[in-house]
Amino acid sequence: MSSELTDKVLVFIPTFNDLEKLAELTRAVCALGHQFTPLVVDDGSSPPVSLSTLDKRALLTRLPGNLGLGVATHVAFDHALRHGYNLVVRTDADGQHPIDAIPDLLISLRSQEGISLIVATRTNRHEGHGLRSFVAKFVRGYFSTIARWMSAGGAPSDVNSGFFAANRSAMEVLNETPLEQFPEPQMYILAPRRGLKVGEISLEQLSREHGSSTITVGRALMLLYRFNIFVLAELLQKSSNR
Amino acid sequence: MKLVVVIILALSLLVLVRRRLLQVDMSFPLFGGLIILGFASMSTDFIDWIAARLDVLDAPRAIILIAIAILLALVTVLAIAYSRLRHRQIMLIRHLATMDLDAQENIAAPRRS
Repeated sequence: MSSELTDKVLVFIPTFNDLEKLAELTRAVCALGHQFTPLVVDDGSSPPVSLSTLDKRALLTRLPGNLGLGVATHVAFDHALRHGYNLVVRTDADGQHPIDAIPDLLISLRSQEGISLIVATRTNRHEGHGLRSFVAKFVRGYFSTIARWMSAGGAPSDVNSGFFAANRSAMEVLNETPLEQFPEPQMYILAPRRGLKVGEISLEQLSREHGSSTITVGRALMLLYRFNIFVLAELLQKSSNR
Repeated sequence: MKLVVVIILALSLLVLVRRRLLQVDMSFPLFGGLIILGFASMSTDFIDWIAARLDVLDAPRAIILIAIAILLALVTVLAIAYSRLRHRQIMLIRHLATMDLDAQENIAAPRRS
């Protein structure tokens, strides 16, 4: 199916101490076709990612410290825009996003009229038990409701999905705003508010084989705080633009 | 005695600036705070006047209120300076990453073709 795609695609994989699956992921991306280039953005892992462990076509940059997914996303967009990549795909380093779903994601992006950004909505995102899962469900529901309201229904239903594809217009627009540590809700609200059309496809997220989520209780509270500040700042900007 | 303390503190700030341990711009709010707290608090008339303006019943407490306000202003100034530095640091890191990836892309291009 990837042979239908002739665009130059940069698949960026941000990682922070998630090293086990990187070699396999970069090989899987290269296997999709010659037009796909994997870019690993090492967000301050210790030990750092070594280029020799990755596929020989993979690109790697190491950030001097844990600066967050927002900076990693900017680095990928900067590179894609400079080197003529038509599309960028983000996938997680823990292997939960199936690499073989990337062509479907890109074909959906190309086939739907006017879409600049497409998000893979996780059909199994509400699975799980216990207090942590309950809180996560509540927070996700809150984010989705606010995102839908802020974007007049233009945001995807899963605003926390880290599996997305963007074309050059989306990269240019999103690169204008400093993205936060966990930038997904911010991106999926900003895009429709800046006039971009956002699409979505459904996808089952794979289970995690290595490591654990980087979102601790403290980080989750900070995430909630940042989201609310972003929403208020956007609303203030809108009222001041009137 | 109060005047001596104020002068010693002002000289200390000056030494820090001269030794480049403190940037001139960052020393400005510290000097401002020192002047307000040091000299203005020596004037009983000023303390009574400011206490009346702020509706503070016990006049000397007005100075504590001003000190807290100055400290909050200083923290805000420092937080703004830190945020600007952080933004510049991120822009620099993005630039370095771009250069790093440019070099790799140039090496990889012949390999891909």
